Amino acid sequence: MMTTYERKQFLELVQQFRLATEANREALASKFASITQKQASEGFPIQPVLGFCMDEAGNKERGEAMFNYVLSRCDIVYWPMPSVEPSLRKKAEVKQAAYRHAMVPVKVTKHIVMLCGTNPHDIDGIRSLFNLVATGEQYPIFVLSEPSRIMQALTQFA
Amino acid sequence: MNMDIPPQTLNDVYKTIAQRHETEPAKLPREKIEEDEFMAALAYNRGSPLIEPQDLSEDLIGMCRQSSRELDPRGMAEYRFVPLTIRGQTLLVISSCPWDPMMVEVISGYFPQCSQVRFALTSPQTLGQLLSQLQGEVSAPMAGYTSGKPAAPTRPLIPTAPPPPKAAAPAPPPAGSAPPATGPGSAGIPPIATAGAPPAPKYAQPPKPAESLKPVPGAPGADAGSLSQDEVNYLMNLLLQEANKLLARKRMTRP
Repeated sequence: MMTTYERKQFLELVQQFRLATEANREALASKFASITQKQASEGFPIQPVLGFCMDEAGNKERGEAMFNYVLSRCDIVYWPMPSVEPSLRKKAEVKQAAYRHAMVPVKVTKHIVMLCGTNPHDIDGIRSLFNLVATGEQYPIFVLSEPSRIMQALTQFA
Repeated sequence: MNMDIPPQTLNDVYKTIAQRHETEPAKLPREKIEEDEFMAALAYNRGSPLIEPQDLSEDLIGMCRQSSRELDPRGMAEYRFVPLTIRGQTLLVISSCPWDPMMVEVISGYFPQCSQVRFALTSPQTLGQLLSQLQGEVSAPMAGYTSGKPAAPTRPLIPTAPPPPKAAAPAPPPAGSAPPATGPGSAGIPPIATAGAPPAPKYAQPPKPAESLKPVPGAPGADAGSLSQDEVNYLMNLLLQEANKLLARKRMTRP
C-alpha cells in the first residue's frame, strides 16, 4: 500500500510524464501496489515509486528525464555513489527498513548520519532508518540517487 | 575563526551545535568545538552531504578527475571547488565555501550547460587533500574553520596578471601550465589553438598564439628589434588575460 507521500509523488510523475491517461492511472497504481506487495512478501527490496515510473516511461531517455525532473524539483542534493555503510551491512533490522523504503545509510559517523534514497517525500523512511542507525545526537542528512543505484546498493546487505 | 564564512551562516552553525548540546549559543565554548562537529553542523544546516578525509575513495576521486579533466587545477584551488558529477542539468560540486558567489559564477562559466549547481561540503583541509590527490601530489596542510589559523590565501576578485618580463630576457609562460587568469572569463574566450595541433582542453592549456602572428621577414618591424616568437606568445597570453578580466567584470556586474 502506498503512503500518502508515495501516492503524491506517483500521481505527479504519472501526470507530468503522461505515463497513463486519467482513465487508467489508477490501474497503473494498482500494478505498482501488486508488484511491491509481492516483493515485500518475498523479502526483496521494495521497488521505489520513481523506479517503477522510470520503467514505465518506455525508454531510457524518458526514464532519465524523469529522474532529472525529480532532482530539479527538490532541494535535495544528488549523490552519485550510494553504498551501505560497511558497519551496518550485517544488521538485519537496518536491512529490513532499507528494503522497505529503498533507502541506504551511506555514512554514519560521530556527528552525522547520511541517508540516500529516491523519494524526497518519504519522511517516514528517513525517520525510521535514522532512528535505527543513529547512535547519538547525530545530524541527519538526506540525499537522492537513482533507483537503480539504490537497488544495487541494497544488495550489499548480508 | 575563519572569517570566510558569512556571519549569519556562522551564527546558524553555533545555534545548531548549541541545540545539540542543549545549551544557549552564547554559552557555547566555541574554541572547544572540533572541526568535525563544526563541519557536520554546517552540512546539516545546508542540507549538503559532507565529504570527510575517509570519504576520499578511489571512486570519488575518479569521478572528480573525470568531471574536472578540462579545468585548470590552479583555478579549482583558487576558488576552492572540485566538480564531482553532472546529472541532467544539475552539477554537483565539492566545495569548502559554497556560499561564495564568485565561486558560483566561476562554476557557471565552466559549466554553462548546468542550470543548477548543488554542493557537497568539505573542509578546507579535505579539499586540499582532494586537490592534491587529483594532481597526484602529497597534500599540503591547510588551515581549518575552527583551527584559528588563517585560511588559504585570499584570492583577488579579479585574477592579476604576472609581472611583465624583463626586456632582455622575456619569460614565456611555462609549457603545459594553464594561463594565470582563471575564472568566468576562461569559459568565455577559448584558447587559441595552433593550426594542426591536437585540440587542447578548454581550460587546462595555456592559450597559444596563432600562426598568422609570426613576424614576417621584410615586413615593417621585422628587423632585429622586433618581437621574438616567445615574446609574441607572452603578449598574446596577456591579451587573453585582459579579455578574460573584462568578461569577468561584465559577469560580476550584470543584473
